[in-house]
Amino acid sequence: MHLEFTYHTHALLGALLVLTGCSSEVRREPPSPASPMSTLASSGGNGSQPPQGTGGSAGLNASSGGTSAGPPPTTIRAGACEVALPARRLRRLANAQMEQAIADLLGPASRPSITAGARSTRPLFDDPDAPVSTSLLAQLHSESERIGGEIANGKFTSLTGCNETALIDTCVSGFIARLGERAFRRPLSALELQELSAVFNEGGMDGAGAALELLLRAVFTAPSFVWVTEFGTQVPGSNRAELTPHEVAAQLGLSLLDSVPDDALLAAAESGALSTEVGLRAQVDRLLSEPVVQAGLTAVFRRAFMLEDIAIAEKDQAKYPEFGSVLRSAFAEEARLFIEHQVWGSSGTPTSLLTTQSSFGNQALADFYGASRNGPAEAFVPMQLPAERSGLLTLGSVLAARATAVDTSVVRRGLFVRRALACLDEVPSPSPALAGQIATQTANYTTERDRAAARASSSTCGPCHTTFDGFGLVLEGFDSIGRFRRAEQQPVPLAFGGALTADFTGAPDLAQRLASGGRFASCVSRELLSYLVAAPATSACEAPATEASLADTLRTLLASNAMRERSLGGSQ
Amino acid sequence: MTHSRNLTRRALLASLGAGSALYGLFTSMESAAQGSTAKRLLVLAHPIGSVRPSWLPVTTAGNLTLSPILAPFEPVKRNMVVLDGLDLVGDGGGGLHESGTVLIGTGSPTIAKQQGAGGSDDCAPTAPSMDQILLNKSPFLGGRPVGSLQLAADNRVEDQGISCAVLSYRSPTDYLYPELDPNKVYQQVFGNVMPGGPSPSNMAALARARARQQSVLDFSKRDLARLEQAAPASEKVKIDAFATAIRELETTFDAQANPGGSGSACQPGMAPAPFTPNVSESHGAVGQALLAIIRTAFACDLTRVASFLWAPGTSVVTFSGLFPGMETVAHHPHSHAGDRAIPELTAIDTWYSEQTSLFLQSLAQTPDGTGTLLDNTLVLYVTEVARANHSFEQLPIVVFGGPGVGIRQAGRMVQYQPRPFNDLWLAVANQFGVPMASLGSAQQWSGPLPNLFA
Repeated sequence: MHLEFTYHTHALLGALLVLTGCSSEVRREPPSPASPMSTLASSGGNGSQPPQGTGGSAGLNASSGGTSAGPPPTTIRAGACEVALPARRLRRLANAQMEQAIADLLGPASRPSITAGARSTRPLFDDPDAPVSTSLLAQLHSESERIGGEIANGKFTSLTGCNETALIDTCVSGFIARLGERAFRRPLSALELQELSAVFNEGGMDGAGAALELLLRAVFTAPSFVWVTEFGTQVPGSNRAELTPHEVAAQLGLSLLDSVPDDALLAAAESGALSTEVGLRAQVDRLLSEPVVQAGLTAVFRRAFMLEDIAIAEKDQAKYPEFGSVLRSAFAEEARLFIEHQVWGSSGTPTSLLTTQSSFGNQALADFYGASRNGPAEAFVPMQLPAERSGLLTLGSVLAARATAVDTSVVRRGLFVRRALACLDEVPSPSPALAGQIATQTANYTTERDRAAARASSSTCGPCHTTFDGFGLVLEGFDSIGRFRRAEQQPVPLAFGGALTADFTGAPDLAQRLASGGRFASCVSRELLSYLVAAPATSACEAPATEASLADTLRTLLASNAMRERSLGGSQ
Repeated sequence: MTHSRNLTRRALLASLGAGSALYGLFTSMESAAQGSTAKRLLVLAHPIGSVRPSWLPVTTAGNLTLSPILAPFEPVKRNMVVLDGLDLVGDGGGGLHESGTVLIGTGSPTIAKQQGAGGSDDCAPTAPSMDQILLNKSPFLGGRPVGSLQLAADNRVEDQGISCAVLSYRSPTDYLYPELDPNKVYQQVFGNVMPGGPSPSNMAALARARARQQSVLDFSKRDLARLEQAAPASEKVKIDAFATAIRELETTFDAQANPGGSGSACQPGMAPAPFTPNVSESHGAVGQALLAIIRTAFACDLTRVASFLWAPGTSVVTFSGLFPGMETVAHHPHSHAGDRAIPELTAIDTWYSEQTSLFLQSLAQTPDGTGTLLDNTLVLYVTEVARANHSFEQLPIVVFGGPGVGIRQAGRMVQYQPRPFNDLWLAVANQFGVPMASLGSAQQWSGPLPNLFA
């Protein structure tokens, strides 16, 4: 087992896989009314304002430090972040993205339920390389047919804008072209249009409704719907490919809308604006101001810090009678508002995520924390946290979810801090035999502190556990349900190198040191980048010289070449 | 379960077009009349081991006396063999509930995934699961319209991670996630039952449905071919997998033309009511609805392989009132409360015995060939750890079945000197006509388990 304790920038290599790896997308409410049917029924694209590119050379520049001489970059450069550029590939839509896309294209009443291969958990993004299994394809067929059948039954004209017909005509042909362009995120070729028309006619042998139904089934079961291409075209003399404007639009659609591109994005792709940094920035700015995009990205942050786990935390009712659905809901609402405010409301930074003394709570939660607030008792309003608390680290959603039902958990909390906040590399799980030994050696101790001490002094357990137990010990001042208990508050020596070598006096001290030196900031950047391109970042981000706000960090990443280029890798 | 289906032609056509589970039952009773009897395999898992003192039965003078936890199986004792002395042998990473689940399913080493910020214990398999291997290789199991079923009554897990909730794997990367919704499974499996038999109008409808499906699949194939042209060579594996999925949909449709047998016991009842997944209060009801689908799918010979998970090893299903004064506890969280959790863990495991026994009794009451469905189904009642402390030793295992699957002496317990769990899989593989010399890494097997199939 290999462990790297020293904490310098290179320790970040691989550390960030913390929050990446597998994952899933946000399921969110269908975006508000602007009827998708009417969009498709008309000739689409109204109201879009293709941003002007500044023309000329802008298109090929990397976003920062782009040099015109020297070897062409095969990295993503975004602010202080420079990580390997993902290779060209087919990116599979997550189930939730397929559902959202179909709902966006056919109307909110036509949301399918795609569960085949569904993850039961909430990581940052679904595996975009996962195979399209027979069960998934079968479900796409059955769901698109079910929905198609519902639409065909009386909604032919409202969806297509055409008179009912069982045989392709000019109007229906136009509808197929518009639907295809939205669903495949690129214009259809003449051949594709012809093939889909033939499918329509085949269905038409059983009537107009059956024709539409079969057409929808062909579109939503097609490889071009299930996959986004990230192929691009090779930049001459380089090892990278520039994504087509439509591919850029598709990336943005998936990462920010969990769906197909909206009309404005498609228009920007068609005008070529998305090939330029200026044009890309304009779309990014527009999208980041959309409530649905903000809500989606807020959820990404919450998943990154596993804040949603509080929903299934269970506590021993005899020991913790205070912990019930009321407190659990309050924790969850606090976490949601906390993240939302940090990211969108207050120019929050990675540092303030960890160190802010303000959060949100109703009176009951404020009483539980010993926080001060003003406002109606039931309302969640800003509250000033007591001195022993600090930002994300001491949210009830963190402390209570990272503990067991009957006690705190030095291990769970320690691993969480180590990987999600300190960005240190992974600690392997013990083998079953080793886990058995650890359980045996610590069985006779009754407190978490004693168990941690026993592990630290054991040659079996110590080598691993001393690399994260210390973080958990700092949080022993908070019990299993996240309540402060002063008795446990003792300085905890930790020796992780640099700012993390110290006798920590408590959570605020730990939070301060985790935030110092920009390490957490670079960690956050890389996690966000991994999410946006749905690929684990495999190399380090430098700590930024000046810390940007979380929203500006997103902006920088989205306008970087991450969304516009791919590496050719070993294959062409 | 009543036989009151109401399938309209419209629904019939829809389901025919659906591509999954396309199968007509209009040759019912033919195969049964010919006396050919199918074998089935069901892996049925319950979470978090058992409480050994209340689990271990005793044998006196050749008579098996069931323990408190196993007592609910009394009605199916004549189809029951208790196995004691099998150890799960870990090799590789992952938490113990997680790797235990994968080890039970695959018998092969695991790889820690180590994703997630809070200490996820997730792991990945390194081999397909044995149910899938046997599905592909056994002359007795494959070739049915619905290849296999993977169902679960709950899939909530405590930490990030998925391996705790997945028993079956087509390959190390193709996870067969269990379906939770009885209604959806019902539609997939029985949506195509065709009242009226192979009448000319039915056959004509079938031909139309086939033509419609083919036109859609043909478009997918052409789309896929164009993508392959443009894609980097590294993506070929994904494209091939999509092509396989298309081909399998075509094949399942073709099975329609050559339907196999189905006995008079093949009577899908009404579709189950829609339900909200992962609700503790309906845990038993949902489990029964899913198991009823397995029973009928077996009876109709739509599939011969299934895996069923009551709940993942880090289950958060809550239980209450199983004995007077019992408070509400969540299964896995409570399992770490030490000795004082024993009454609740015993009650919960007994509850799983009761629920599972209800299903097994229904198999025993279903005629199949010259015996019952339980006589012709090998049920491996397994769990991912031996007990709440995560021990892998002395797993509580019970096998159910009858002469049709090689269980000729039942109502007994076999006690072994400690030996690997995989030895059970090796014996099962032999029983299904797939001789296997080994399974997993060297320490994970010693040889086919003796004294079970006799």
